[in-house]
Amino acid sequence: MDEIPRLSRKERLILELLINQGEMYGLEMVKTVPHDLKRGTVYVTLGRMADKGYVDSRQAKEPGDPGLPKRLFRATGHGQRVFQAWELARTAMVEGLV
Amino acid sequence: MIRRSALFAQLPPAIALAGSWVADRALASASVRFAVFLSLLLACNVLLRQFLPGTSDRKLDRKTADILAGIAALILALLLPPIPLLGMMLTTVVAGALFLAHRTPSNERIRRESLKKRNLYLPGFKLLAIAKALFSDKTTSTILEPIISDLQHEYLEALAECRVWKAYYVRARWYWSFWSAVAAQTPLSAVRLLSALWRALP
Repeated sequence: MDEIPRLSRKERLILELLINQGEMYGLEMVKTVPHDLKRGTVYVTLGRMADKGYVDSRQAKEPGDPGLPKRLFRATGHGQRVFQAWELARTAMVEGLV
Repeated sequence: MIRRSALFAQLPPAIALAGSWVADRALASASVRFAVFLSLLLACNVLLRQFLPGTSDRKLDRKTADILAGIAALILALLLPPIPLLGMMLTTVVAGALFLAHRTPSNERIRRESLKKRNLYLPGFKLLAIAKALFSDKTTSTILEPIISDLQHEYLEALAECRVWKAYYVRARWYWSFWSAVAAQTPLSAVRLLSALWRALP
């Protein structure tokens, strides 16, 4: 990969959630951080992150559960490495500034 | 199950009660009697549905309960002597209490089980059809379908808690979210489509 992977603030937040809490679906994420993530945009962001290879998803249909199946997202290995690299860079930058 | 109209039946007695305070005595008497009739109608309906077996589910039985309650309320309203305002207020309160008492967990269980059997009544399927018509399968399955899935789950959660107004709010909120997602995704999908078309050109 030639380009340096980039993470927006929302993407970083979502990756942090998925790394710390495991598999989650969009509404769970919105309920966990209601001010930073919105119902309307969380799945658009997740779709973009899936295109970049940071997350992958699967459908989970519980038996007897009415309605459409939920889509559970989890961080991929690539996503975890990007997040860790980003956090290291951020920490180094903050330390450098201080 | 009591229909929503039964709850709204509380509204005319309240309006009639307020009207009776401002109108003259003759009108007040008529409006109070009418209000008593409406409250009795609600109370009889609730009682009949409470004690007649099967009235929660079957449409025919519900109609029978409605008719019987109407007749009983009319007879009672005509036979009763003029009721003072305090009596009217008590009747309304008792009818409201009966209505709330009727909403037992067992009825909610019946409603949930009935919903489980009938996916048709869940909201969002028309939105899903629109999404499938506008976007690719991948975009629909990863972005728009999960929104509708969350809408349905949150909507059912609100219904399971007997919070009808919350269910309406959830629906409206998710509809807004769905169209926000469509607005956010459209430029991206358009660029992808144009790029694919450009690459396909000889």
